[in-house]
Amino acid sequence: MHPDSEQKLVEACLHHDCTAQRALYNRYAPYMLSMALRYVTDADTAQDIVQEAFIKVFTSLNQYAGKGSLEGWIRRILVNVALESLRRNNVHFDSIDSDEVLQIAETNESVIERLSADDLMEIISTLPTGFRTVFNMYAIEGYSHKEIAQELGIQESSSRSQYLRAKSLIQKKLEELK
Amino acid sequence: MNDNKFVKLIREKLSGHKVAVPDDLWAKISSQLPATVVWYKRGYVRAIAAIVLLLLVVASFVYRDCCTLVSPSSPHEVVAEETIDATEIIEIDNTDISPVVASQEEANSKVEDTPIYVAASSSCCDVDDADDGIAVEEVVVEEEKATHSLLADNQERVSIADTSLAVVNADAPLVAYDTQDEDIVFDDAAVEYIKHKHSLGSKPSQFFSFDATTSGMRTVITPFDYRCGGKGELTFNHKMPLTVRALFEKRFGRWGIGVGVSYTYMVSEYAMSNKVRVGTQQLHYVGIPIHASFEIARVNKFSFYTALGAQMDINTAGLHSESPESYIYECKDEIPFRDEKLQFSAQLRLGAAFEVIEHFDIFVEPTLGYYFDSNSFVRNIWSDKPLNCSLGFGVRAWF
Repeated sequence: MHPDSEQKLVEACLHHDCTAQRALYNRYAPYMLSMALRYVTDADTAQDIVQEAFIKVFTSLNQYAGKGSLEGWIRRILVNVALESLRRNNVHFDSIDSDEVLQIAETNESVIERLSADDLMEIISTLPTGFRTVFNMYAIEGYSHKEIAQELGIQESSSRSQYLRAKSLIQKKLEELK
Repeated sequence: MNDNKFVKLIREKLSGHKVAVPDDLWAKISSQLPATVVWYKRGYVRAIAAIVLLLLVVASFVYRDCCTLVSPSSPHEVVAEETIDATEIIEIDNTDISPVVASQEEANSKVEDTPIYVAASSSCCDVDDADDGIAVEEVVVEEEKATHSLLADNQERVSIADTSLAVVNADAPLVAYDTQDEDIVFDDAAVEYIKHKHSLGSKPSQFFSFDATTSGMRTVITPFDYRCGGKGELTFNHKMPLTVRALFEKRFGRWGIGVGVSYTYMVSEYAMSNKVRVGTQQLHYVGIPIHASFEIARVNKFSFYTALGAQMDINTAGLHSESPESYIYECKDEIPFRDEKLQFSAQLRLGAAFEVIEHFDIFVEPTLGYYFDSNSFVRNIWSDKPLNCSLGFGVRAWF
């Protein structure tokens, strides 16, 4: 979305313009639901996360200072809501003591390129919750391991380990799909 | 393939991925959003409209064609009339003025069938000779302005021909004028009496007032980070605050200075999105208001004024009462607290008062207030909506 039109949309939403709010929701909701499904595999829970995230977006939109993209700001809100949902469901992001990593062959780029997005989503959904969460935050959302450790209350080394284990599991799945 | 390449491919594959959203999801979201406030329902718009309306009412009285009170164009213009009982007695203040006549007979003998209304200059009351009474500097006698008329056996009409003149009622033991010579005396008390009756002259210069103020503001403010065993955000729904105030004001002509004490009670509902906390917040404030006021105009029994002031509010008590649905209800159903930060505010008021009986007014005051950021942890309507409007109703006793 063009920055000027995005700014106008934000201003209209700040004035509680229902049309603008619906437009913003229509614009980002499909991507946010996809994002939520990467954190929780249950569709109903993912919809609850999207619902709660958008309510927070509209009610705290005055805190969006305009720095960075609106989409990025919305994504961070959704990540926070998703993590809160996982905590409510007693998901613990336990530390891993060892750095044991499954030894598998390197994945060819072409395997990933031939893969559809839905297939990749399916593979990610098979990961254990902790691995999946760290993988989503690091590989897709772009959080650093330090930020992930602070958010999840784990060690930074544990974040790295969980990411590597997640990556190994994904690569193993990709090998199976060859 | 190195990790950066792997991550890049994964992101590219999923960056544009979207999933069809259920049709009813927007309805669930929009039902929980704050209601759209049309512009004419916004509190501050209504307050400004009330102030503008009040200004128009004041202007219509002040600038009406007849009987201007602000600046009479002619010293001989009738500005007020009153019908009083012929036997009505007004006590003469003998502390400042020599007795004008010794008896009613003397007064009657001095006034014959002559005009009894005298226009005097504003510099009347110069005392040339105490023995002769009070001499008026300028006297203009207009026969046509004499409106003394016996309406009934016990009624007489007394008219005031100027805002600063001596009022004469020959048949009442108030004052005597001899318009044939230069010895003119008048009754200061009678003048003040008539002036006061028509709101032309002086009134008691101070008053006590008591009023209650309620605000039209009601808002939902989110989010507020609240950490209680984890991250969470409290949503507040502030109710209309109620303020009662007692004020003392001293008038200096049209200007006045006031100081008082106020009490404000606030209630808000709060909830955390994950229902860890749900409850009601109560806040009690004691305030010290000060202000400077200016009387814009006075018409008959109505007076219009404006006031600019400041107020300091002190939080005396606060309480969070958890609802049974709150997760922490079982272990902590009430959490008392107190904010030690002082709350300062500036307020602009436009008021209208009506004299119900002598020295007792009722008034209404639309007020626009701004509450400065106190950097406090307490969330209330002042912190979340600094600029707000309110409407006060009260009573005022002059003394």
